[in-house]
Amino acid sequence: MKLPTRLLGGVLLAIGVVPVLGVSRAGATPLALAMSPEVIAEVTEPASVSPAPGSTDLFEYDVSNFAEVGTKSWYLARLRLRVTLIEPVSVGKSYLTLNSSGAAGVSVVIETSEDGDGVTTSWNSLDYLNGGATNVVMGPTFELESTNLIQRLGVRDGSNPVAFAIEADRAVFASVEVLTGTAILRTGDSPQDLAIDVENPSKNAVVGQPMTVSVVVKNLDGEPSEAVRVSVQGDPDLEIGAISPAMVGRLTSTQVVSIPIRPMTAGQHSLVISARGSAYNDQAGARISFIAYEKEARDLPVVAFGGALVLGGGLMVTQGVRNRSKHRLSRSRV
Amino acid sequence: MPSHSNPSTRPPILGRCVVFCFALVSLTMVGLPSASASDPHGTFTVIEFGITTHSQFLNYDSTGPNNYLRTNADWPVTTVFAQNAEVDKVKDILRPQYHSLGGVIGLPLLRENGSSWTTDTDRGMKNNSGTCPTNQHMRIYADSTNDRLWTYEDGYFVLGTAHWDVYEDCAGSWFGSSESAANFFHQLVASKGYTTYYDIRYMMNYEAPRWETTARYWDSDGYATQIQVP
Repeated sequence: MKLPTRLLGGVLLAIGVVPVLGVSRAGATPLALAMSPEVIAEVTEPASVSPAPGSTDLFEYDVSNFAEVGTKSWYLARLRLRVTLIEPVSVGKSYLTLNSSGAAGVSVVIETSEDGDGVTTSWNSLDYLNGGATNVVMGPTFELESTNLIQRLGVRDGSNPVAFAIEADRAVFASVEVLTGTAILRTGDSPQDLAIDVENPSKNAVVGQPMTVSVVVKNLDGEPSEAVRVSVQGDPDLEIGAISPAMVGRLTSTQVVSIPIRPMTAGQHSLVISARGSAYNDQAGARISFIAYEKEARDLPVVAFGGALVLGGGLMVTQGVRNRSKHRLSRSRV
Repeated sequence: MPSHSNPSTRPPILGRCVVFCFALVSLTMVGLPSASASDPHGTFTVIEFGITTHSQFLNYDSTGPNNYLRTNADWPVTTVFAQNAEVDKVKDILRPQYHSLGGVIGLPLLRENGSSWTTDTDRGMKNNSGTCPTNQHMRIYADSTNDRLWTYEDGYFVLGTAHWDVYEDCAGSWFGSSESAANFFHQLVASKGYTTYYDIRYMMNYEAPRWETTARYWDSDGYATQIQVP
């Protein structure tokens, strides 16, 4: 089912939004972000959708800066709903999702449960800003709002369709309205306030030999990050020593951290390094894969080169002796 | 499926997967990273999902009250349901083939933006019941506040551990063989049209195929299969 379409004019098209219905630029609802996100596209009029399980196309938005997505640019999905449950309410869960390009942008679970005290209905959300929250509701009609970062799969280069989906194994809703402000937003405020730079150790990784991986932990937003510590995970064939310093503490700019490692087998190894502070977005991570070589294999080119030199030198000497012998011979023949 | 010390107690159903499981066991023995020779166990450790944002969990479920002790490890994490998964939603996918409940086991985890570790518990889903049943048994875990976890890279996800319960509560009963049990679940979900990525997530929980006791058989290739739940 598609909602009534209202195309908007040049402003939207100029910023790369492809409106399909009720979409416009509007002021962003403040989130707990350093920078307020910009509304890319949103529903401008409350719209009733089918309360039965299924999906309703809402609008599309265009991503022209795809190379920056996940590094300098982040997309958020905001879902605002008014729902009325069928009475008497039925026990169980239902799932309400704002999908972007087929992947969940933000998802809300409505649950009705029954115990000795009667029937309770609640809705819960899980997002990167607020973590998980459960909200108990009174009565069959209630409004809900939830915003989350759209997962990586949900933002694609070019046009991204946005749809609202209801999943339930029974009839749950008498009515569902998608409210004004249901939107896709964009922010330059990374969910990470820390960053990690790490040099791939492939060129030095030799089986059985200890080495140090240097990690630079950076504070990105200028605000000091407190209680920053670094942790690391590796595969079972990688010995990992004590990180120095594991506890960075207060980080205002950058800190170099050393991780002693020793690959125990030849082949590919992986290392996951995390930095985390006390605030929710004081976090960063890096995953690196590198190849460890057997010492003999690593030394093989050197040995081969050395061997070639010796062999070559020997040949030259031999050839020189032969030439001299020939020369002598030829002279003697002359 | 591993051969048991008393083959006469092995249910007929298991005979059908001997070749498949032999291949599976062989694969785990020759082709994948192993723990040190003195310790056939995988590393009982924290796995972190996400690069941009993070959620953490232990790579084995375990019996309480102290779920952080390696000696309490029950079975390795073999399955990740990602994208828009939730515990009960995943269980609905496993129905009707898997319908009965098992015993309670827990998995410690730390959700994205969470401040402290919590242990989720689950009884899991089995496919048979009655007298001396033989089951594949999968438990599904996530933060119990929301019945799911989340990262930017994975979306909403939950975790599964799998094993066989063979001749449960009867003479000759045994448990384990996580790898082949997990494959039954993965094949079922794939047959229902879900996208699966076989052994795509490294879980650091390789278990050399072996009998730990006459009733407990370990095997795990150390990787989890990811299933996309739209």
